[in-house]
Amino acid sequence: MTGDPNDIMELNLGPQHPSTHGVLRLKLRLEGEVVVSAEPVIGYLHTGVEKECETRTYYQVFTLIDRLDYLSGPAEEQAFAATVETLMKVEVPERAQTIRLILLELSRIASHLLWAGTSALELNMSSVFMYCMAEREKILDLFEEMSGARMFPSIWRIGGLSRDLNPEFEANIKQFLKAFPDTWKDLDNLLTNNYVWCTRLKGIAVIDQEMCKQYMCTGPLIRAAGVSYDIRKAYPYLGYENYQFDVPVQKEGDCYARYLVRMEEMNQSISLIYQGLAKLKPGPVLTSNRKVALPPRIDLVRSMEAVIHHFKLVSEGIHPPAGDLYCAVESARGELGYHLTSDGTNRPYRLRVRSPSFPHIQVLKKALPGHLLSDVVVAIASVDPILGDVDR
Amino acid sequence: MNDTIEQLKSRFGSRIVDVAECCGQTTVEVDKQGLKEVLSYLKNAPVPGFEVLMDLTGIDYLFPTKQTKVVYWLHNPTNYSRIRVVIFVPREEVLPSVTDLWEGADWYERELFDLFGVRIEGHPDMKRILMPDDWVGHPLRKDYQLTEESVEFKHGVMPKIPSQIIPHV
Repeated sequence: MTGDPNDIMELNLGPQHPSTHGVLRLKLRLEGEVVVSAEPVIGYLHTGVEKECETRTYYQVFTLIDRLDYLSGPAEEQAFAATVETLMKVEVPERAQTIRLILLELSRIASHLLWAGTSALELNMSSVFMYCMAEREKILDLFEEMSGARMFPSIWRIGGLSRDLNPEFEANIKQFLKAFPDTWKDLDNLLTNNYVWCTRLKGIAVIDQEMCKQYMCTGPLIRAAGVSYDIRKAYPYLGYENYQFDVPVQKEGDCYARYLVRMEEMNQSISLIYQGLAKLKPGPVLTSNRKVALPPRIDLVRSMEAVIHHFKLVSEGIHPPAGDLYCAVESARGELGYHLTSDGTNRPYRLRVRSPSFPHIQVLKKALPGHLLSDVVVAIASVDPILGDVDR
Repeated sequence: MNDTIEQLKSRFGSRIVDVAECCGQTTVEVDKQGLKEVLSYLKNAPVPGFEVLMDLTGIDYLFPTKQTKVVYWLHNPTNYSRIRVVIFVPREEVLPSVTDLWEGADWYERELFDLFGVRIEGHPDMKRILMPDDWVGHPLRKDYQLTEESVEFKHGVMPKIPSQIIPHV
């Protein structure tokens, strides 16, 4: 490190790059192999979802926000549905809450599996990638059998779910849950004490508690820094306060600590799903408040009120009271929250997505300088950004 | 939370314009002179202790005047309480930056400028963040039309634009 400005090379880790986890551009200034400064540039996936949501009714918004955090679609839907349900004071039936919880935890496992696979792939461990993808396929098969769509089940509605679980769901998910610990053990054996993995990950991109506070990091980043902050424990939703689970916390705040936190989170999700399946009781999955939820199709043949409610809901939509509300869920990446400003009409006046990955990419600006170029890729992978959420 | 509001009112008096509540979440409206003082009091003083800025966003209004409501959503990591501090910023007025209180507000203020046109002074590196660098206009303002452009495909095929697909209710 000579400190001579003529020695600084600007390298553009461009938006089109296999290792940047999406269309993230990093303007790196290197001296030799050491990063002097890193400036992330985002906006390549900006589609103006927040503006579009202002022109849609509340039912139509579900189709847009699903795809923001495209690896944990259920978390986005749950956050939006929770915001509107709290504002309108709509009761969600218990069976719907349990099913929502099971789907949220399944999507968390799927997201972490993809994260583990792609992080290992960046260190050229492609067999780990294949194992993770094969396991994730089983989760996507479960989603597909239940709702028809693999990544985005899209069955959330205001006041519950649009359809119940298919009859084979419980048998299939139990089969998956029985086989998952073996895959987890495989990943653990392949990675946790792997010399190459440990050397490449330990001590890289340390994000400590003070940085987390200044940069509003949440999720696995803050839990790897020693703070046990999990929305499921802090602001419980969907009945999480009745479930037994631990929040994994590490102290070092480097990439290896984040890896350990996410691996342990997968185990906790398995335990939560078992508890959810035990709590599953027969019942309705959608609220019977006809100002909010569509009536079942069979009623349309029998009842005039059902037809009128259906017509009003589909053509006009629901009318939440005027107000400002924020509701958050713990997605696989951190605190995913929705600010909803409603003015009493059938469209949101302003829907703002507080995405977890937006500050996480910003913290890279502070965490990367001083590392080698080959550590940049590892650091981005461990932060686990999803550019759909960042750019919206 | 009520004690925090009482303390804010007694310390800052006229700087607090309004206090509202919706579904258990409190909103405190301040005016421009009091913004930095209120925010640094809420952050630094041990009793309110709202050390983390969870979100910084804006909401645009055209009535009664064209203005943007800038929202600071603060979080207390010890007792998990949250408070919203809002300030109305008319067009062409300048807001002080809070990057000296929270470094991570950097990108959020750039997004405010980019999408709402709120001018921030004291920001280290103000430029557009989500829109292309040479974009004109501020998209999330209410008087900015939702633009629709159809991309021409091969053989002159023009797919439908959104307003042709989604009926305007």
